Amino acid sequence: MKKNSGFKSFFILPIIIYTFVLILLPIIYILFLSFCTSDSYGGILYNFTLDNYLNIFDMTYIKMLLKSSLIALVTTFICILISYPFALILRNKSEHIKNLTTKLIMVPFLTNSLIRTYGWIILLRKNGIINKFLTSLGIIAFPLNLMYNKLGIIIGMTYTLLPFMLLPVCSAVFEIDKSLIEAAKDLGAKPLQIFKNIILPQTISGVFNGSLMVFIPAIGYFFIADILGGGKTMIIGNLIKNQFLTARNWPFGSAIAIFLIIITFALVKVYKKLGGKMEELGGL
Amino acid sequence: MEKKVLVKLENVSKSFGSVEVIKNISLDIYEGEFLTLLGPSGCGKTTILRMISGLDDVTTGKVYIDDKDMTNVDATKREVNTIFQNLALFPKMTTKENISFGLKMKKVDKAEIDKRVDEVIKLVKLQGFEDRYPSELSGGQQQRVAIARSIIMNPKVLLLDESLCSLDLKLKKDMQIELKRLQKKLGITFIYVTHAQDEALSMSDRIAIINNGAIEQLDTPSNIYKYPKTLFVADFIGEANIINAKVLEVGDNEIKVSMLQDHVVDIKADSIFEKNQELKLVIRPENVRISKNELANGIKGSINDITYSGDSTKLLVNIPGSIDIKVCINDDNKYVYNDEVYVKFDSNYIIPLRK
Repeated sequence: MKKNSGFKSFFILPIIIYTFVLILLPIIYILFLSFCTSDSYGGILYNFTLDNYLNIFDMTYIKMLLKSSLIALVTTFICILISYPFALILRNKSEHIKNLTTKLIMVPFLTNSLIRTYGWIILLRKNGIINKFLTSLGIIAFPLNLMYNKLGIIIGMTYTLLPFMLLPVCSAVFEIDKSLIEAAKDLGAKPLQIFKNIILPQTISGVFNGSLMVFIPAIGYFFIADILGGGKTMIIGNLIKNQFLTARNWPFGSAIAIFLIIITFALVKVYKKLGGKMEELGGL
Repeated sequence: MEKKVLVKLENVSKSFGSVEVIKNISLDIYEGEFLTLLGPSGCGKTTILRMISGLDDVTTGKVYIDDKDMTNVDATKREVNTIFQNLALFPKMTTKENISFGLKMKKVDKAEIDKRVDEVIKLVKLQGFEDRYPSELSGGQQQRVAIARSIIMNPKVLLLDESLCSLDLKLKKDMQIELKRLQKKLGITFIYVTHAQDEALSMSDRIAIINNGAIEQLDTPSNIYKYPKTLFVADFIGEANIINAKVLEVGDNEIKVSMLQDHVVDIKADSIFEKNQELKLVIRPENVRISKNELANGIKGSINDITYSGDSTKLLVNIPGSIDIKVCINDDNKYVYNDEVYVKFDSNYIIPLRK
């Protein structure tokens, strides 16, 4: 028993060190910074203040937070809309096709997401592939503004974050026993009734998981907003990045970052209240 | 009185890809009867059930329910309900919600639903369990919920797919009696699928023995047991001695055959056999006479194995140079291993079957 636990801790130790040094320490440092002030040259003055937090409640930043949330919410919603039909169609396919498709979903992860986002420029810009295709078919007369606006951000976010919705929704949908759907059919339930009464209640936790995993990064993915939003639409992630790299106001940036962490935890709490189980989040 | 045909299968075939699992079946099922589809696993019996419920479509042929052609009618609209092998209770719904599901889907008036749910819950004796989830119920209670959920729909036919298989022996016996009681009371036609011959024999009005996607024999339980028409049926239902034999002489209603190394017997035979034809004889173990004393025209052998099973004892008698004969007797400690005995077959109980 004792020997076994020594063996275990040997393998767990790197993870504990990793978590402590690379995640926990930086957060503690940022928390510490958020109570400091910066001087005009970007240096840090170690005098305790709450001003950074109070400054967040400026209309400019509140609006930005709301806009970020709206973009994240729309992204999450689109991801749900795509994931359900996808999972329901894939459900009836053979095990082989399911495995293959799940692997294909994972393939883009092997490429850097920044590079993938640049790839979208080729597709979305004024003389990009999509616009050229649509104009050549005569469907549209003038190229559409598909990027450098909120639409571009949402397209990019949806693309990047879709797998986080797709995978939990698929696993929840695949888990439903086929005979439950047949039993519902047998009792006279039409497709929409089956979805509402059988599929939805049994997969809602998967959707919750996916929603958190899409919504939270969507608030912070500043590079998508930078590249596909053309820097015109600032989301909360851009704000934090700018405070650190451009405005060189590390304490204020830290305060917003901490604020974002608090909101995230609040969301997880709400999720818990709504009936989800913590284990399903991997102990978040 | 002429019995009304409620479910009619007419030259029904079913293929999955290139594999034909049901081969041109025709079957009439009467109103109010308890019909069992019995066969080994993979014989196609569940597929037949699913074609009646509409969950599987037929490849060729017609399905009639209550004289209406239902061949291309969706499962949703057939007045037939199924109790699934795994019961398929909705896990996120309580007993009451499970039972009322079908009526809710039909948008029946709420007061009416409540009334009928109460009735059905009383009928299957589930009072006090209305608000429990399936995971909080015992196997027998889950079974009752599944039954209630189906019979509340007032189906013309209730289909049961190996529904009792998962239960332990005692509960299974109780549920068998319960099911029979319900069937008598409601007068619903039951089509029951099972691979357990004891269930089939004890519960059914008629049994259809299914093998390789075809009906081997359709008859009452006792006729199937007493007069199997094929070797498969003889072997599948109950214990049987199946013995090779050869026709020596053919009479009007009788044939003379030789079996077990030139032992000659006369047996009744309706079907036409030819002289020198090879055939199989089926004899049930309980119809074999056995004695320590020499029997006229008996065959000598020795006790090879004794299995005591409470109400009866099964003996295996080794006939030198031939097969072992199964014998079933009621008294137990008369014989011991290696005893010399004589066995004799009563010609009335020998069933001749073509090879």
